[in-house]
Order: sequence, then C-alpha cells, then structure tokens
Amino acid sequence: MEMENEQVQPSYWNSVLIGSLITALIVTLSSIIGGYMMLGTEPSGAIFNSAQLLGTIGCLFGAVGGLYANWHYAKEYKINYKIGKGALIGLLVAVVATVLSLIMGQIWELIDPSYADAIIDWSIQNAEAMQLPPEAKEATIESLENADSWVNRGIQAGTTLLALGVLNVISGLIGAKVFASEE
Amino acid sequence: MGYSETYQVHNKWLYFGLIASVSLLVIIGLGPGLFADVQASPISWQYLFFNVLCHQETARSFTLNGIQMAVCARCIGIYGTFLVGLMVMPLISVLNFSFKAEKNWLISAIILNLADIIGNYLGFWTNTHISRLVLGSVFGLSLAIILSKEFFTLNKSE
Repeated sequence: MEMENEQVQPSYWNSVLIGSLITALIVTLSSIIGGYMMLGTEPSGAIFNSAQLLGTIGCLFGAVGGLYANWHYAKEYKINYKIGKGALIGLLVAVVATVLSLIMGQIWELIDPSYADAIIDWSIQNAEAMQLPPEAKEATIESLENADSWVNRGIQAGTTLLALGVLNVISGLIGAKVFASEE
Repeated sequence: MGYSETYQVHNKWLYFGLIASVSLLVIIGLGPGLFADVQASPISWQYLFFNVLCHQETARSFTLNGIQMAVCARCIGIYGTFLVGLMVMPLISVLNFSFKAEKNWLISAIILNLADIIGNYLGFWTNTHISRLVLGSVFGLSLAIILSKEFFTLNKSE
C-alpha cells in the first residue's frame, strides 16, 4: 500500500538502527583490520601508513549508513518524505553508529587486550622516526602515550561523531531525495 | 503573451546549515597546512577528524604549504565542488534539469569513481592526483545538482 504525505508516518528507528550497525561495522572493522595491517609493517616515520584498510577499499564508506537507512525506510514502508527528515535520519545514524563503534572497540579490547598497547607502541616508534622539530616530536609522543586515557577517547569519539554526523546528514539528504522524493 | 518568473527558496535553514557544514569540511580537509602549522603530526586535529572517513594516504594526497592535506585528492575534490555547487545552486536550478537526468549523472559519477578505483587497484591504469581530483569533483558537483531543486525552484507563469 502506497502511503503518501500522511500526517503520521511509521517509525524510522528500525532503519536508523540497521544503518548505524552497518556504519559502526565499517568504521570499527576498517580500524581494527587496518591496525593489524599496520602492526605488520615497520614504523617508517610517515604521517600515514599505506597499510590502512581504508586505503584499499576507498573513502567515504562511513557515509553509507545515512543513505542505506533512508533507502530502507522509504522502501520498507513505500513512503515519500521531505529531505529534512532524511537529514535527521542520517544524523541519528551517525549518533547511534558512534556509540556502537565505541562499544565494539571495547569488546575488541576484551578479545585482544594487547591490541591497543601494540598500536600505541608502534605509533610512538613511528613518531620517533618522524622528521619533526624536537618539541613537536616530544608533544606527539606525549600525546600518544596518553592515547588510551578517557579524555583522549572522549575527544576521539567527539571528532568521530562530528565527522560521521556531517557526512551522514549529507548522505541522508541524498538518500531522501533519491529514494523518498515524490518526483 | 508574456511570462513571469518567480524564484522560490525552500528549506532555508537547511541550505545555510549545509553550506556552513561543508565549508567546515573543506577547511578541515585542507589540513594543518592551511594554517601553515609546521608542527603537523598524526595527532593534528584535522587528521583525527577525517581518519574514519578517508584513507589519508600520503601518496594520494595533495600538500598545502608543504604539509599533507587531511583528506586525499579525490575527497578534497568532492567536498570542494560540493561547496561550490551549493554556493551556485540558485544558478544550477535555473538550468531546470529533469530529476531523471540528475539521478543519472549521480549514478554515472559514482560508477566513474568506482571504475577508476578498481581499474587502478587491478593495475589496468595508474590514476594521478589530478585524475582523482577531477573525478571526485564530478561526483561533488552531481551531489549539488541533485539537491538543487530542494532549495531553489524557478516557477514560470503566464
């Protein structure tokens, strides 16, 4: 049954949760697998390591969730809605995906407790090999030594939320336009 | 018999919010070099911001003031032209493309970029900074085109 422009539309939370789960899995798995790939290389002093998984699969996959959630919501209920709602769905996907990726990261630390320390040690060795002014190098190493602190984890979660938020709002707008537009 | 044209602006707050957000993405994407920060390191906030969204490979990224940008050449193309597209959106909407054409351009831009990534990965060709930037720009512009009528419409009446 086609539902167009009705006052009461079905809940989008199911679609948001599926989109969030997809985004969180992409973000967490690319980070964890990329981390292990990085640990398999020698620290070279480069700012970024070419062994990162995202390097092999491309960019912007973290924005897929907003697009998918809108596709799922529009197709599941066969409804049309405005792009503002698509943007909201994208934003919610980003918020839930950030929380889920934090939880998944914590679970992985229980599975492999040495992973986080190994990444920090590798990053410190890499920073030591960098061509940086001494004070910048010292600040980088000091920051990396505290990378596991709750403050740094909070900052990382905040930047992840902001980045995923903006990108998923845009992908949500596009998703609503393509899949839920009345045109 | 004369025609009159009236411009209608919709979703004003969303439009300006989008311009502000994408401007932020471009500024952050240009990396620490924009501020001539010679102490740039992997812990620079610009790199942290994009580390879940872009591979940030040195060999695939432009530099600004000698410092690597926070996103790769393709991504800076996407964000840059999307921002330009948003700013010239009133002009784009005058062109009055059909929704089908807008959708086809978006799909073509995605296919072009995927083909470029896959072809390069399989060794059929080697893409360059410029080819990545141009293809990313085509995608960014197609995003702005498909959204244009959601923000601006030109109504013709007799």
